[in-house]
Amino acid sequence: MTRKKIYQALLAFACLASLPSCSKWLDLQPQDGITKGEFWQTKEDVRAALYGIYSSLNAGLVEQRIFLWGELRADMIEVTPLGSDDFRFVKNVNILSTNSVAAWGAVYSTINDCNLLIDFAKDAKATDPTFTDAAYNTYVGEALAIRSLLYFYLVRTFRDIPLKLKGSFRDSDVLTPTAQVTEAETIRQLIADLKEAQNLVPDYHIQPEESELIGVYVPESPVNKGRITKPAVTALLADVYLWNSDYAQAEIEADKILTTNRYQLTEGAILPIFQGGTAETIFEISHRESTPNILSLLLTLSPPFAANTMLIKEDVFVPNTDVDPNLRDPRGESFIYSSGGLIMKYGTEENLYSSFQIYRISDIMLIKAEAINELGRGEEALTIMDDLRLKRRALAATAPELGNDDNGGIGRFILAERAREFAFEGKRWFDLLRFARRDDYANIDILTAMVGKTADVTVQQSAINKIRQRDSHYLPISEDELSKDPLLKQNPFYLK
Amino acid sequence: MKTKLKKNWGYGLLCVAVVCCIQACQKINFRETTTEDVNITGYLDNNPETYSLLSDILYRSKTAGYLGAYGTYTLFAPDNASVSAWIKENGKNSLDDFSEDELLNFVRYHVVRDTINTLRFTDGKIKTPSLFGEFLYTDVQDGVFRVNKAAFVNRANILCGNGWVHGIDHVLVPPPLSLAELVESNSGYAIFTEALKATGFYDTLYYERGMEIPASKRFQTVIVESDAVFQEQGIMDFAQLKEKYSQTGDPKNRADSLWLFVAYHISNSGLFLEDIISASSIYTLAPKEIISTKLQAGKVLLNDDEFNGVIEPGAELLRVNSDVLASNGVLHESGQGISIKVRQQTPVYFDVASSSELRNALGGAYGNAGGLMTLVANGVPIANSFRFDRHDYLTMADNVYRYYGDLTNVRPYANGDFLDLSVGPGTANRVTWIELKTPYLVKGRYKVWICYAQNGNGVPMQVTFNPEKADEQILPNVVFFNQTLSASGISNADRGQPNADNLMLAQGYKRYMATVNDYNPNGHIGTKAMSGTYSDVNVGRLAGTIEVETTDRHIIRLEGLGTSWGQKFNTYLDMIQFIPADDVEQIYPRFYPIPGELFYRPQ
Repeated sequence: MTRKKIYQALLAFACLASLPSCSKWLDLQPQDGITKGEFWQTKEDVRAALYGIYSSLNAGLVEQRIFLWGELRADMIEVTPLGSDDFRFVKNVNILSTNSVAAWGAVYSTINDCNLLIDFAKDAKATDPTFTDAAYNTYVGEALAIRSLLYFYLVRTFRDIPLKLKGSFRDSDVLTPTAQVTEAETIRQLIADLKEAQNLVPDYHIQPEESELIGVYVPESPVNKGRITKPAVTALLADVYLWNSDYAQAEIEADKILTTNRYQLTEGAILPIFQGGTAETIFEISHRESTPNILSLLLTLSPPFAANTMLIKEDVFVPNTDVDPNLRDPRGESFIYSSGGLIMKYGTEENLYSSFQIYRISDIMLIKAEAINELGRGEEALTIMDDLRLKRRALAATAPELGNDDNGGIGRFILAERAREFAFEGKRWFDLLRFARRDDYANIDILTAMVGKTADVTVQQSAINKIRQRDSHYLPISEDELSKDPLLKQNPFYLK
Repeated sequence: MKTKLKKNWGYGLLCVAVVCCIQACQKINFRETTTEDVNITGYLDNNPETYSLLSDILYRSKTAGYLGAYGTYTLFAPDNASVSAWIKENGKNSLDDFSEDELLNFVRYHVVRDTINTLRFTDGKIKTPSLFGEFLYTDVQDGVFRVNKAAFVNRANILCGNGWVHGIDHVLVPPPLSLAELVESNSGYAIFTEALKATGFYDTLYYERGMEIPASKRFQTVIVESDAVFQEQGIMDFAQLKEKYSQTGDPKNRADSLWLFVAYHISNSGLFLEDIISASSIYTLAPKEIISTKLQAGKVLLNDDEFNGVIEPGAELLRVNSDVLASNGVLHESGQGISIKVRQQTPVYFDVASSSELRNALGGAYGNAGGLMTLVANGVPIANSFRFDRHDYLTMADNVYRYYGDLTNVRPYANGDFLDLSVGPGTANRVTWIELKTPYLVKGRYKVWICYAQNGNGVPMQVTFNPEKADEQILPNVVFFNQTLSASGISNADRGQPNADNLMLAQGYKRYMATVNDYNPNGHIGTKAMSGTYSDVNVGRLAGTIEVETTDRHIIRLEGLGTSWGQKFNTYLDMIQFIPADDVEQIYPRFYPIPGELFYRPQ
């Protein structure tokens, strides 16, 4: 009997002991992750989210999209036999909504990361007393700027896009259909967001040592290039204004950067710029001591793309045969691409950590030149061009004879200079399109001429005919996305 | 108790089994189809608001079952409005008024037995003919695909179980006129029409469906010159044309120049502009005469050639009046006159490393000190003027262009450059041949001289002219790239003798680089000593004589033969010279490392 009592006592004790654990037991949390409720508590959480955004930028998929959208439809690269048929169809303006180039998932995924940070940073701000206003503003401002940058690529590639400004974190959020908005609406949003970001983001994340002489270049930390700073936001805003044909505003924004002397052109050698962190760069997707740049791998090991050397030689880097055929533009053949077409701008096998340049000081110079030329100040624009070309040691063969009031000619000169300066950086198609669209498509010939050179001869006439259609300048909404979101409307060019 | 339980246990099991069986009696609907995609007939049936008339035609012509079964088809589907319009155009009231045969032909012309989506459309014909036996033509107008220049595609790429459907807004009608009638019906082609009739070509270009004709005449191409073009050349009417060309007075005579003139405008295959651009020449009915073609800045140019360094402007095909479909081919209009060019046979000194295509591809590496460039990059040749049998070997990079323009070289090269090849089956993973596209060769007989710089690793090469073509010619002499001029039997010591060149020539050898004795109008002195060491390392070797049948660019193949040596690269190919066989001067001019400098027989 005593033994039975002992058992009873033990049983009662066991029951009591197990009771406290019940609360935990009923609370089902995933064992292998952090939930939203647990996150967004401290400033460290917000910072981690921000770094997550940067790391999704340099993970490769976003850069790959930028490269594809910016270069494949243009003339500087050609598709090698190793490239996929989808790439060739894009070259031939024969694009269906099933073409993989139209997939935008990677970009929207990063946009969602930005949206989440913008939505929930304030939760952390409320609970963490050590989260200063300055830090909060910086983080939100950076997320706003990156979101704007990505939307800027999307709106130029697809025109009518779903403009999601709230983060999705539940299944029901993802399933909520979102309709597209017009290009004008997206641009309006971008300008507003970027103006806001200008007031949130600091000039420097790591302050350089003060120089005694004002206006003298001070070396600064590469962190100021790899993260969004105020000049980076300004550069993007200037670019958006230029796209939107708002030339006076573009000039104002460009001048904000150009008057500081903070960024300097390196003379001559150009390849080191792509190693990252130089005085030229305003913002880059940095790969320093991080993930290898996907483009280095893509463009050097069995590359699907090669530089279109024939066309580049005719139109972009014209050799100086009259003076000395051995003179080369340091931005051209044998420096950033080999005569066999290998693109070396993103490094070769030895160096896979080149940074992807988004804005450099030369971009701002050319944005300003383009804007003021459109405002009828050709002479000033030519002065900027001379300055840039002198420092870059551009060849005389690529300098046309232009009168100061020949705004059309100067415009084409600037466009060609942008091709030389930003070869293979995912900007060429957008430059061509911006130029062609100007003044109600006054320069559409630049696209038809280009397609005449890049499309296969068997479909050349079809391709030229198609590129005359304005809707064809934007990629189709991918079939995949159309089936997921009933509110999405296909670009009418792709409906027939 | 226990035994009873055991017995009952057995019954229990039985009960369960019975219950299970009853359950299984309920019919479960399994899907027996692998897909729910409809076939083409099914698709049309499902969309009667657009295609009810077309469905009706399929059933009436008894082709509905055909397009409903599995297979690979492409159907161009005219919508109801367009079929109604077609019925009216034929002066009928309803489909009842058409015979079954007429409807069957209607369907045949709209179906291609292949799966063609718009990604495979080009600026020309669909590569598989329709079931009617004639080709359909596609292009793009206002950004929309168009078939036979008449029907716009209004719903492209509808995927069905047995192929593609493309909705179109106009019924496709086979072209009613033959080439002969088409030319005749155009009042602007009066002179050409008369010429066709006078030469008898009108009859061969005439065709009615169902006529028995040779297969080669089923599809033809005519390039017509309009009266305006003739008048620009000062030919006002047919009488003047006949006067200008017909030297025998009988235009039906095949030796008559007027017959040849008209024959030169006709080809025995249906060539759309796209085909003309893709091939570099059109074979005409004038024997062994071709029209060369090229695409330049979107223009299709005929006979626009550089011949012997002289640029001959050509004629442009007018796109608007070209690609006109006839029942038996295609009609194009030329903006300028084209006629057979009478050319004299001339020697062609082909510097393989300085061909214009290669020069373009080399860019800055061309003629550049230390210049070196692999001939194959990213798995493709850098220029379209040569190719190897494969382009994916690891050793591809050993085939390079090299430049050594230094005048002190013991092995100088013509114009300073040469191809350093790694060809031959001596080791694994190497290509076995290289093919080079020659410059224009005027028809006639030529001696082929392979000029190389000797290297002990050089492989023996068999030379073939136009390999794998009807006029293939394998040249008799194998060229040993490791042999010096001493292989001719003339030693280094004897090479300075006055008669040495003739003795070597008799053996099929010659010096092709300038010697110190040769004459240069610009006062340069040749670099090669007449005799002694290294006087023998630049070798011109006669590979044989070829018969060139058409004036065109041809193909020369150099195929490496297996040997115990030649394990590596170092086959130094410099030039290939084509010298008319009855030309007494086979030795001069000689060449020099400075481009363009020629050396002649001492005067």
